[in-house]
Amino acid sequence: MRFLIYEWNSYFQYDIYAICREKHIDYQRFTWKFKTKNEDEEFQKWFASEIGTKFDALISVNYFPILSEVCQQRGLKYIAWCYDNPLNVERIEETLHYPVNSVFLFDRVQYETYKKAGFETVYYLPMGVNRTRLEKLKITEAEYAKYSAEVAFVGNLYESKLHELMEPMKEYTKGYLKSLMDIQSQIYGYYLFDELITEELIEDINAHYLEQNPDTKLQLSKPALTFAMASEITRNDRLILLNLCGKRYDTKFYSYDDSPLVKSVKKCGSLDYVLEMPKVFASTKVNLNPSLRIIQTGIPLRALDIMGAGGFLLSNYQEELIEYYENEKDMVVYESLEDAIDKVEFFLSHEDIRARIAENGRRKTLEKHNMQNCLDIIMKRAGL
Amino acid sequence: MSASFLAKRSILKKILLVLMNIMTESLPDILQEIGYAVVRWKTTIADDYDKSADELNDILDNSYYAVMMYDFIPQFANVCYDKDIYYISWIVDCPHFSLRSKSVYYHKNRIFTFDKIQYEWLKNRGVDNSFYLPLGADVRFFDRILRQNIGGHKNQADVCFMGNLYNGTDRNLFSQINFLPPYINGFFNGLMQAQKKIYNNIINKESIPDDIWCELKKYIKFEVQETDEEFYEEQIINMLQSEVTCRERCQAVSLLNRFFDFSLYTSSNTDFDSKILNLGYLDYETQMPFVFSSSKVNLNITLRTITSGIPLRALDIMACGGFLLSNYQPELYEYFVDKKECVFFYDLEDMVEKTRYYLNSDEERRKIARAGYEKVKRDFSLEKQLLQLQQILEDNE
Repeated sequence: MRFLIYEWNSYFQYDIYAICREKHIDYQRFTWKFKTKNEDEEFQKWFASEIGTKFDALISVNYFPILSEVCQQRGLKYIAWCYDNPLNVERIEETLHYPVNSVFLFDRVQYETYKKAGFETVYYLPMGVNRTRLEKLKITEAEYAKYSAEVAFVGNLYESKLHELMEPMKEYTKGYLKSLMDIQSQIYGYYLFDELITEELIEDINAHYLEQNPDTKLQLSKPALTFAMASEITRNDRLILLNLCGKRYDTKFYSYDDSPLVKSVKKCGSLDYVLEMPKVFASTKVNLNPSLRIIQTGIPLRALDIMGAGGFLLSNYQEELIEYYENEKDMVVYESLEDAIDKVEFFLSHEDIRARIAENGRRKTLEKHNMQNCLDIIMKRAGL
Repeated sequence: MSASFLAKRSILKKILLVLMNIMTESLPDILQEIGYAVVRWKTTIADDYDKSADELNDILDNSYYAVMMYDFIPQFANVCYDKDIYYISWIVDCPHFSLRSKSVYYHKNRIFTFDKIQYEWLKNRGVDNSFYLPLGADVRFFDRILRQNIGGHKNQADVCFMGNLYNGTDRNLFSQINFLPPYINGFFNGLMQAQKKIYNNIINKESIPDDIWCELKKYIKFEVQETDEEFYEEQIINMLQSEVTCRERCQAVSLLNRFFDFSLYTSSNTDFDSKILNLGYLDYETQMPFVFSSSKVNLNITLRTITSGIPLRALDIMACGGFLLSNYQPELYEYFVDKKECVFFYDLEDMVEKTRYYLNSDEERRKIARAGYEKVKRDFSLEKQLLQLQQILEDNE
């Protein structure tokens, strides 16, 4: 078995290499900066001349139409192991149906959307962690002293472009979108935007943009608008949660982002996914996971990272999370930000329960949600 | 009747029963059977409560134990207070604005409400003599009338909905707004569209931001002007909930009509969909029972202002032996077993799917209708609820 792996700036692929080695699967890496994800003639030429033919499949983290295109031409299987949701790929329908493709999606709703649209090349597969790496996880006293905290959150704030997008909209549309966002921010487990933001509304918005400024290049798509709205809600969730925790507890915030709106927490900058992040999760009493709101039902990788490292997970309600894990036994979900704070308070003061839940979560994740199993499933589905 | 009821006959308490539109036939009979002497009274001046209260005042003497009626009419409560007679009021709709009257606090009032949230609201306002009592269906009456007319309606359509569509000006204040700033209009429309998708109530004071509340009074005024801030807010919320109901019911009947053999019985205008055949008003006693018992699927789409309680329609459908497909309604869901005694839908898409499923599952549908009937007969009959009412009265004398 020999894989060709496309390497880009993704933290996820280093574990893929490690697992290939573990399974004695040969692989070769290549990298390329595409002009666009859809088209790049130079790359196609290079690929045809430089890449040999002795591979069983090409693997990439996330889906790249240009990779599907070159694989289709060559008759090489293309495996896209996606950790982004939504895929956010333009004109995906032009290539997604190629029979060489096997595209793995971790969010069931997203999977079903493509399936219903007639794509036979998509598969549903929850994410996993590198079991071997996390089983070996050891934390020195010095590391513990460095990373320990009562509460931590690792992630971005999602600076959305929503305000720029909304500024030139009609007042009616602003009011309409505002109410949808207000309601969505209060509700977990039901996603409003798919049905309530219609294509007619998007057309109306674009027409109004043009009316305001005939030279405008600003044209909106439904995925772009809903992503911006979900990002904005996520950002507010995270800001409020961090500030509420910061005021009450010893709270650490690990992120590339910074914002003056985040107060009273210790801002610790970014973390190395492999070397540092698991240690943070294991050394923190309560690890928060306010999911990106565009992930409708799936388990975000962050939640698995936390549990796999033996950290105690406090997550927003997420349908697939409570399907695969038992709430308050393997992890804990909250249903509103007030509820989250109540639960932080409770679990900080109940160390024995917290430790038991974290251990259950760790055991279940390493046993059932590991990349080792995922890769077996992927190879089977892809017919390898 | 059991011995204990007979025993009470020796000291019959006399009730003046105020007859109204929604009174069902058996109510006075049942009251008599459980030990009251009943005098039926109908006001001659229905639209003027001040005058009909004068009438009431002339009739009542100290031989009466109580005046009883559906609805709360402050003028009647005043008369009862003056005469030191119990005023029994059974609230069957929500909101019921007259419950804001100061007359609700009289110690002789016995106010029963069918809705738990309305009950909480009364308690919070300090109305001590308020009690929770779900509605009861007149099973006995329906049994009798259906037995007399077996097979009366053979040509009944598969699916039926009976009720107001809330698109008329009498029930829909939203449609009468002349102008709203576009931002507020957009906000309200978003809120209402979202509510259509969500089965729990999401329209409340908190779901409207303060800046909109501040603006709103410039554009929306109600006939009943009140300085009370909270009352204004409640009216706005009710207006939005009624408009959601209008959109929901209009869309629902269009969908049902498109996909199924469907009958609509409403006094509302149905011009919004030319394909709908409106069979008009259905008489509660002489026609409705046959329609419910011979339709395969009977819809209940609760008025959104009723955020918790069981609407009488839902009970009536089951009491007539009809199969009930209802929106998720908290108290209905609390007392009835989904897919065993009735079936719940969660949005209109779900409603269509479930209608289709149960039309094609004759055996399952009949079984559910049967179990629903048995449950209503056992736990939600008018007899059962009136006995409960009697018990509460005696415990609180």
